Amino acid sequence: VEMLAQKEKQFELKIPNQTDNLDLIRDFVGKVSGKVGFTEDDIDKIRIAVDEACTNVIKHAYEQEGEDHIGIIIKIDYSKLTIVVTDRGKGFNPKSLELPDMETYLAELRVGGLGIYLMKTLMDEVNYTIKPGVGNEVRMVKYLVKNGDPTIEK
Amino acid sequence: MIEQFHLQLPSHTDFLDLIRDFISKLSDYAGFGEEDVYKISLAVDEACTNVIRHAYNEEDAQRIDMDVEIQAEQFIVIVSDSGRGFDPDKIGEPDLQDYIIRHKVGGFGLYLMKTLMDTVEFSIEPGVRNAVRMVKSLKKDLNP
Repeated sequence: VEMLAQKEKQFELKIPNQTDNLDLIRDFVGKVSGKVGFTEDDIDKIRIAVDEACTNVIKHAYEQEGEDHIGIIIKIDYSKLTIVVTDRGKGFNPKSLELPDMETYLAELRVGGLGIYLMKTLMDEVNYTIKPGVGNEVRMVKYLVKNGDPTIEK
Repeated sequence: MIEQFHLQLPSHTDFLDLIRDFISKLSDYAGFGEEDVYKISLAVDEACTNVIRHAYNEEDAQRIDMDVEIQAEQFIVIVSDSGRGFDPDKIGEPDLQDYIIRHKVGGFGLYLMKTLMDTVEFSIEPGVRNAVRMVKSLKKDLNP
């Protein structure tokens, strides 16, 4: 943990878009988060958020399992962990999932609305860049809040 | 079906456990038994340790790349770096007696990798890309 606090480190994982591989991703992300010093509770939240993002890619971005890959980039520095989940699938309009209208929201649940809501609850920041067929990415940030350290604000 | 996985991480021994976990999970998923899963993980750990210690001389700002390909009858792992490389032909069989007495004189890692895997091949381009390609065959009849 001391060594990690010094400078930014980056990890990249690229795996076939298959539900079978979610376990591998959850474990990898959990282990990296643990090394930065997140609490068990935060590690769980990060794992669930990443699982959700990858499930969305597997279910919605691509037509069938195993046809392409999911990319995961994890960056860690002294204050935060950033995870970027990428795919080359069909993408979606994240704005359509943020409407407060319940009818629209429920309709969008089927295309991943709940997952996005969940991700936003679990992480501090969730942003999207959508370029269908070229590269879509979900970027999530979780701040490492140290006990009694007021210099790091959420 | 051929499945391909890629992992890139900082060259530091702190992350060797992530590598072992990653490789253990994939080799288990490919269908290897417990003993082979252990052998493959150990061989890959050894290859990565060599990269960290020798190719990058413990500079932790560098990266290690790992490509895994799962085929119907083979498990292939390629560990690559852009460090200083070496001449695999100049590293002969280690003198085990010497190894035990002087503790770590080198050469043992390569010997270990060759013992644990079915084939181990090197492709060395110092500063550009050095790669070690290790293959383990899946003997289906032994892993029902």
